[in-house]
Amino acid sequence: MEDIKSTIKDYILKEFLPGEKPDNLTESTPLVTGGILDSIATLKLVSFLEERYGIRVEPHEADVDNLNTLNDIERYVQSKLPNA
Amino acid sequence: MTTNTATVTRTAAPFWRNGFHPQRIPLWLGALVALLGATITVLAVKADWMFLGDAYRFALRQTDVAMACGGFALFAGGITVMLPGAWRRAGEWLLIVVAALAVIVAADIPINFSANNQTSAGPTENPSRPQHLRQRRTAFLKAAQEAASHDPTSKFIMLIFLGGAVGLVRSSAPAREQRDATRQARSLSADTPAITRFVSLEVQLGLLVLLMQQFNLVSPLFNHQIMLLIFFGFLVHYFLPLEYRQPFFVFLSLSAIVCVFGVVQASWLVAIGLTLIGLCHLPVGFKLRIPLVALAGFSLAELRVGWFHAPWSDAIWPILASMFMFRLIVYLYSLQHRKAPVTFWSSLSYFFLLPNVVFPLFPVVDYATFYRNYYDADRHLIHQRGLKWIFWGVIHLLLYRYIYYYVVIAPDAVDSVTNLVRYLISNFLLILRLSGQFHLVIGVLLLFGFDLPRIMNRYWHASSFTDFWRRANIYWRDFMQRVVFYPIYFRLRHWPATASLLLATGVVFFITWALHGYQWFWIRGSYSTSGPDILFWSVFGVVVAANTLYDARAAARKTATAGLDRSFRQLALHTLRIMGVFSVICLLWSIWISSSLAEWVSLWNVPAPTWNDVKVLTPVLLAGIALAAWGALAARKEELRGLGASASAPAAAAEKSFLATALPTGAAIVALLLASLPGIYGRVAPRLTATLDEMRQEKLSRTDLAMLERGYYENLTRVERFNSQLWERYNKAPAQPEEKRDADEANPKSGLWTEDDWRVNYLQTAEFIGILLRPNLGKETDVFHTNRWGMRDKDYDKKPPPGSLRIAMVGGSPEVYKGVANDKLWPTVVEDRLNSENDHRIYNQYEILNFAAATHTALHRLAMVENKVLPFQPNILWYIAHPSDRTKSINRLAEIVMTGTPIPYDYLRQLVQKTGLKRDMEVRTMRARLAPYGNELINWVYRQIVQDCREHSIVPVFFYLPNLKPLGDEETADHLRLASEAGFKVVNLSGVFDGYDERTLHRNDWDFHPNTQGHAIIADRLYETLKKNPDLLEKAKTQVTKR
Repeated sequence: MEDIKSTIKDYILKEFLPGEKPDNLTESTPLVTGGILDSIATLKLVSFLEERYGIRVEPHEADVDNLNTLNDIERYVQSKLPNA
Repeated sequence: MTTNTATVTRTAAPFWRNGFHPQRIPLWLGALVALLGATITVLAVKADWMFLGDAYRFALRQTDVAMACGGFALFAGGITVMLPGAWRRAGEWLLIVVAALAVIVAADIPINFSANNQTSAGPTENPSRPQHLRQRRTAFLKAAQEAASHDPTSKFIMLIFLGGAVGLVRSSAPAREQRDATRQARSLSADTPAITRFVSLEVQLGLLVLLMQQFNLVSPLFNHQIMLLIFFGFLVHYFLPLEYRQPFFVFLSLSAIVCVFGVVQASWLVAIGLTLIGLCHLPVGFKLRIPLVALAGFSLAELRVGWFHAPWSDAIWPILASMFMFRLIVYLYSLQHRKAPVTFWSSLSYFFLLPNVVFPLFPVVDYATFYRNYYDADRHLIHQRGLKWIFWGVIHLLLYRYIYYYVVIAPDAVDSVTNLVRYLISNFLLILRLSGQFHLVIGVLLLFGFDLPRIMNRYWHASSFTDFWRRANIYWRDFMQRVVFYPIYFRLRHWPATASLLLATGVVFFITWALHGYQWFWIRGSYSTSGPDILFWSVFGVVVAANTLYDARAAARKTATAGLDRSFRQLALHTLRIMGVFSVICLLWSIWISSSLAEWVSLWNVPAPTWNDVKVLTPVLLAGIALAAWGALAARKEELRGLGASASAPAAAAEKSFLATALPTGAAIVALLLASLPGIYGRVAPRLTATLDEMRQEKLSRTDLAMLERGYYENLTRVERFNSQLWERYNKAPAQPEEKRDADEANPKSGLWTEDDWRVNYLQTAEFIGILLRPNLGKETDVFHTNRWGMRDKDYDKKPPPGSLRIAMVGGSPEVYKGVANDKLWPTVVEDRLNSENDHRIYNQYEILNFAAATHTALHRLAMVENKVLPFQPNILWYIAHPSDRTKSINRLAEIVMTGTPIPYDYLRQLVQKTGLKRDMEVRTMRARLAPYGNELINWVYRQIVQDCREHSIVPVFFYLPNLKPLGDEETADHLRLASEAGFKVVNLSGVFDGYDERTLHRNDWDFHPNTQGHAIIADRLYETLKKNPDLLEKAKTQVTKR
């Protein structure tokens, strides 16, 4: 479980928050409402999730409900995994 | 989504409904309160039942109504605490309804039960009642209501009673099952009142209401009724249990609709709305519901266009459309994807949003966000944020007003580089009006617990086009992203990313353009687009798409230190980017607001920059650099703050946040309110007194008034894009009772009057004479009719009767204004008076033949004299001149050239040749070329007319009649001088309206033609002038024949 969160955290830090201290990106840091993920960044994150976990993200799922925090993303990815 | 975690941990103790532990209220106390309430109610009702001249009736005095309402609240509260189970629930609902009524009473909301949409303060009158009884009753009613009007004490007592009733019911509430711990925590967080904070919030809100009233922001209806409804509504709403707040909000929203439209029209609006919502919830498959809603939409569209007659007033369309045209799409999307639960009250709250009733342009609120964010944080922080947004809205609206009144210029005034820059920037900044209104409405929603996100974010500081798109209207961008961008992009995910990005962005802009048209269709009732419109959205789409691609690639190139360690060079670059984006947006905006591409191109036809331009524009540029640098620094600050600001906020921080937000907002409100008081700014800044006095008025700017006067807006079908304020005034018809009254007065039978079709009464010829009134319109008994010669006048023979004095009058629209009945037009009134007071010593009869026609300029009048007047053999010619005749004549000549109309005069042909006018030339350029010859042109016309008169022994008399508004007065002196030099007898009627309230003399805010009263004033003054100057009624010497 922790793998998903840390993998995504690493990806977000690398792609969208270069130079940011990892500790500042917490499990509850708002990514969408906080302005870290704009529409283009959201699309890149979605592509990453689809490739990394082999899931298919529907257009209406790429929103604040599922992608706003690391916790939300982890929960969402888990729900989409085949053994969920 | 920042649920107060600290509060959650504090709720380990047994939780009771609404955060209150149940207390046993003795039955006797409930009974006592109910008895007291019933007694007060009965006494108040009895006091209101009085003799009103003809019979005993309810006078509906404010004091009695307030006391009855307060007493009934006590009665309902007392009864409720005594009732068990479901009955108690019914009692609580009754109390909520009474609370809503109390707010209506406290806010002095008039309720109109008549079928039209005009608000009224009193009960409707039965027309069948004898006149003397009606008058007597009205007098009694007036006396009774005046005796108790503006009675704040009774309102205060009513609210105290209501508060007591609510408190009693709350404190006796039994525990009810709670759904889950989170919900409990949310309820507790949202439900715990804190008196000091409440007082702080209510005081700030009250000051904001005063501020809006001081500056007359938005509209009188909003400032004096809806804002008071919000003020008292918030007061009651704050103390209600959470579960009743949404229903109460719905009651308030419906009350606002009733307040604006009256009971009948509001019922139509709500019924149509409920039907549309009902269609979304039909127990059929979702795929069937969408076409059903679409079908309903098409049916309404047919009614909107007017293919079928709708039984409701046209006035409700803009608001009905504003409530449903986009929100239905969002709602269906949310239903389809189960984005948020739907409840009866949340649906009604969502569609009938309280402030929407006065704002046809409304943010596209997302249903899921609306539902999800309801009391999702500390309630006081939400409310305080709401006050902050309302205050920001006020600031935006004040800035807008300043720019609109003093900075904006018309396209015709662009004659230098300085004015070009002024035109480009100031017209874009008019968007402040929209952003002000949006901040205001979102702020109001936050006051009622809907913790909606920010709608605009310093769009003038955008550093790229995508950044501008993200900041300018965040709700719209989110709407497009959810409903259009993502679905298209995800469907094309197998395409190369660049191609799918480009296509999705392109479609977003295409649909945005189409939906703008869709929006204006619903609000205005007709669809229109134009070259500039298409060009604007195309170019905007292209630059945002290009920027999106750039952003997508640039993101991959970000360095590890980017954004955190900005050098001066980076700040400078950011500043430059902000300035560049702002400049391009201003440029694009100028295309969008142009009436045609040719007009936009002609804007650039200005002389090369002069030293004066450099002197003026250098400080502007420096100010622009400073503002952009501020934006760059603010962006840097945001980035440096980084993720720290996003961390969860503990309760202690929330405590600080309330004070930290409330203090500066409250202080700023107080400061602005004090500064807006004439007693203060008159002393501190006496030089600015005139400006600040004007800033407190809501009106059209001088530029707009002048453009209206010159007929600039006459042919613009998309005035909403050019001028939102003017458009709103056009759409204010329901709030302007005098309009219908005037229309009925002018034409109750013939049906010739409609708002836009004055041209149907006219014949457009392809000759120099231009537009002419159609002959034989209506019957002689109709208040609007024309005779066989095409005059709004009696029927005259061509040959004057023997012994008569025949006066022919040429003039413009004021002399034949359709809003005034034929027999009330001032030439007719003067003629009737001359005849009724005629002693027959000189003439048997006076005739004044009215040859005036709408839009007639000096050139038209010359043609009228030569082609229409002379055959009637008049003795005297009255030439009625108006301000702006010079400008209008220039415009007419440009129009003649543009339409290829043959010009029968050598002088005019030479003038056209001399100024190089060509048929395919942009009209603005033609006007600019003719402008230096304005006086020469007028001089020629006057001399030509005088010559014609002399050749036919006609005495030429020149009357100068001013406008009701001081428009075009700069031409007055020239007209009087030129007329006198040409040989007219000159009568200057300037000041004819002095001493009268100008607002009572014209029909509405954009039509300044004198109404019936205005015509009576002109007739009186002119008659007096004729009596004092009998020579004005003398024939030419060779014609005088005494009886």
